[in-house]
Amino acid sequence: MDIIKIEDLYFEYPGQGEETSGDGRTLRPRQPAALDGVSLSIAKGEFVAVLGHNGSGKSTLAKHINALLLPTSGVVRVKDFDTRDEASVWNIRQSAGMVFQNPDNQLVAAIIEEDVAFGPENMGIPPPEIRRRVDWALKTVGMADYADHSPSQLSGGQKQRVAIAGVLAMKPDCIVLDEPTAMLDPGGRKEVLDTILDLNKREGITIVLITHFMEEAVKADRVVVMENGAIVMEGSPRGVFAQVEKLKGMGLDVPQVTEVCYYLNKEGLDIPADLLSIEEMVDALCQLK
Amino acid sequence: MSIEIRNVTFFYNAGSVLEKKALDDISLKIDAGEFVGLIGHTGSGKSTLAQHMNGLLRPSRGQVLIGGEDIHADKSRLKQVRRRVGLVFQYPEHQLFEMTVFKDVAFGPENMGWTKAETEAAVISALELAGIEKELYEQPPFELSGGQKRRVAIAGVLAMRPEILLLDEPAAGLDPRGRDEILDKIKEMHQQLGITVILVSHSMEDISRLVSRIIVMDSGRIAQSGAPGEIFARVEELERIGLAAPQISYIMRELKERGFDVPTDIFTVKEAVKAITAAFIPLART
Repeated sequence: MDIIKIEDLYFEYPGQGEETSGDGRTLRPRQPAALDGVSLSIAKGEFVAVLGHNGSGKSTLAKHINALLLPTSGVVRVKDFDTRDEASVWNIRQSAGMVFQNPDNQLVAAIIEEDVAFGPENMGIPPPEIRRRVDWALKTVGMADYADHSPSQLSGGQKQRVAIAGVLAMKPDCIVLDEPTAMLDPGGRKEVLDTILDLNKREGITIVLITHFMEEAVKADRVVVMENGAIVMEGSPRGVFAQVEKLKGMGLDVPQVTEVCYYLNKEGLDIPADLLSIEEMVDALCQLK
Repeated sequence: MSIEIRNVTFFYNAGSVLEKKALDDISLKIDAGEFVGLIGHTGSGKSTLAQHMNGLLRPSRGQVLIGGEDIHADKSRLKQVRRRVGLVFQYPEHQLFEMTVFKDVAFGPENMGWTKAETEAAVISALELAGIEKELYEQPPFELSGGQKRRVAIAGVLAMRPEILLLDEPAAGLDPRGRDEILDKIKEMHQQLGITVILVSHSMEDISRLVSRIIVMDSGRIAQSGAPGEIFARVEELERIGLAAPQISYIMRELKERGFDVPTDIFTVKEAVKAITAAFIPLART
């Protein structure tokens, strides 16, 4: 079943249209649309990674999934709720939670468990149930020991895990993460990625992950590449990353292993050009012996 | 211009219950014109060390010498030190504040009391070095892309004509294209100006393709110092302190372990393709 259904989505930010002077001369031509005909369906339980350089439209797309932005034309449905239907906004935001890039901008309370309780409190959930949800959410992201700490005492990776717990406490079906690891060090990135994988595999939560890090994208079920407001590539990580030159042409990274295999293949070595892990690559080379 | 750190120890909140040792008896020397990478995980002391190099922090014990001169010996000379050692902070674009790109970059030189002509010349050469096109000089800095904003912020430091440039995580948070642009520009600055450059980062991939020496920090001490190839060949030590070598290092090591005759001190895609082709093409033909 598709949990998110986006059909021919077109979006312009205000002020993107043509600017003309009083006598009808064009002062500034029409700016390209931020989203230019995007269609995408995401199945329940799927893990989708969205790649693309800054300005490609991936954050704009993410904000449509929880009705922070509304389509200029086209339709976005989350669990069959149409995001344009004002009465559904709270259902949509509860179903599709968002986590943003900067760990310091998302925590609002002075104590971590209060921060996690903020969402369910606003939903009007009875206090004993809030207690259960907060404990469960903090345990799920591995932060239960910090329940009574202040967010200021945490590392960046820990703050992001608390932000994820805050979304989890609303019991969403889907979590949209917009570059959640961009400001973290390698240790923090790994903590957050492991948490995301755990939520997807064990709790069955649908994940939409916007990222620039290829080591995160290779873990996804499906990779979507955006450019100029449109989806330009889509498929398994293996299928997408094998197109090394196309990705590099767009200013994106490819996992180093895939890049080496691609060039070795071009040099005439008989190994597949779509390998993703060191192990696969070394095994393929050993077969040549 | 050279930097020498002599037995420097530094405590945050010295004398209080929150006292925390951030640098533990560090000694190191960086030669004039060197391009050095300073790497370590969060809390290892790398930013603290960088802030000692331009006198923003004063050692609890030990000395910091810039161009052979103890920077804390004469307080009145600290301002000079800060001009000669430019520090670009993390997310420097947050510090842009002027109405135009040009004015923002001119802020430092104007404060130094330079003449209008001197300031203008310094601003233009800094913006050119940072790869900012002329059309953008009169634009508000806030309307630029993330990578452009960051390059304007770096130009603001370059305009002071520093002899040492310290950059704290200059590529953090940028997309791959913005990251490559900024790192390529930093490399050009080093080559064109011949100044000493120190790059603080936790990305081995970024650092390895630029610098001639890597200094690895751990728990306020220097854990390793050497050429990138030497450092990455000792992957176990890096992993023990929470860092990792570039993926290429692991490929080469794995191949070596399986009995292939390949070097293990390389870390770029190009070198790896060359080395693996050299080792395997003869095998494939026989």
